[in-house]
Amino acid sequence: MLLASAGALLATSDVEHPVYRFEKSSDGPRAVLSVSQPNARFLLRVRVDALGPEQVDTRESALATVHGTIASSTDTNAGAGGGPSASAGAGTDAGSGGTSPFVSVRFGESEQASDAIAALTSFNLARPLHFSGDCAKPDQGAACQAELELDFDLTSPSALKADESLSIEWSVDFEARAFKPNGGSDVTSEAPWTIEIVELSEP
Amino acid sequence: MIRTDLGPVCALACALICTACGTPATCDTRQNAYDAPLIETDEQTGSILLSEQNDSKTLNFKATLNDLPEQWSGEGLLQIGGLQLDLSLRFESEPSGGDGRTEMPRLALTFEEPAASDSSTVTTSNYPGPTPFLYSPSLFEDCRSGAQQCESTRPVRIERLDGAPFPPVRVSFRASANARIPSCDKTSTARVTLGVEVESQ
Repeated sequence: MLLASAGALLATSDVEHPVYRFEKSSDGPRAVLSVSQPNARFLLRVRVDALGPEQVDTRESALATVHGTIASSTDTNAGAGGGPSASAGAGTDAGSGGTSPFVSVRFGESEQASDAIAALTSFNLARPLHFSGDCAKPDQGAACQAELELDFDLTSPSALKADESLSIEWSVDFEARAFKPNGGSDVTSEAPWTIEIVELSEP
Repeated sequence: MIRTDLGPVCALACALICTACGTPATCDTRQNAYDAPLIETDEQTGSILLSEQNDSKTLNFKATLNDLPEQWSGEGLLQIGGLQLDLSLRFESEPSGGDGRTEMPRLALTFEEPAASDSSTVTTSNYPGPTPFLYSPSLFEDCRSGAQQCESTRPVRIERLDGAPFPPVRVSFRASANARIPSCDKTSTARVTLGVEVESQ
């Protein structure tokens, strides 16, 4: 009996459980940072509209990943032909000034300031989503939703020239996964969520 | 009866005493390299500055084993040695980077093994750190059996792949070399030294 149980445990320990993988992406509005406007803040709101197939909860292991690119207006103005030299000039300026126009990217609700990353050209930052509301019945009662604040800050605005700006193109990918109750194979589908991105004005 | 019981004990004790007292002229058994005492160099530190795209420098590490014990020559004993090198990246100004959360220019690190005419290249990540990049190749593998001195070189070429808008980046290194020299001679004076030369391309 004991051997049989142990055998059953061993037999099931390596079994891979098929999952529903829910995905949703959204482009964020372009952010422009300059000496006069050194930061930008966005509210990312995810609302669960419905349960998933087989009535699974679509919020499990939910994760938001923000990624984007940063370009200087000097790069853009220089055009394709003059890009490299213009970039080299920008780098030299930044270096000689002792600072560089890094952009601090962070989620506003971060427990630690060290969660921020400092980016110059591209970034990728992930954060789990925590939902509140009536998530057992997302189409009824209080909305089941999660919110994240995304902050872009120039770490050293003085490193920019007065007429220079940084343009940030960004998007956010959301994903979650839930075990399939009735087995089968993995299924990837669009999450039954509504994504809302709002630019926040300075307080 | 009593004499019979003590006989084997006495024989064993005598054998042990003889083993301890009799210093053989040559090694009767080869000492395992892993059991040999470790000799190592002091840590060598330094840094190079890579300011622009394609800036490149080579750190030529040269480790030398000196005063190897004579017993080596007759026994063909094994030796094991290694270079312990860690590389870390920093900007000259804030944010200093190297913390895994600051974007930095990528570097191509090429580790050459001249004896094997071989090399391998790795590229650092866009957000390197916080752990230094570690490299620990073996040394002295190509040393001639019986040599009194032995030398290994390990050039490490570092090329900056990304230019502006990244500021100049300083690459700091800490390196030491070590070896285990199996020897019957407890008073062996074998030592290992490590030098590094920076070569600009």
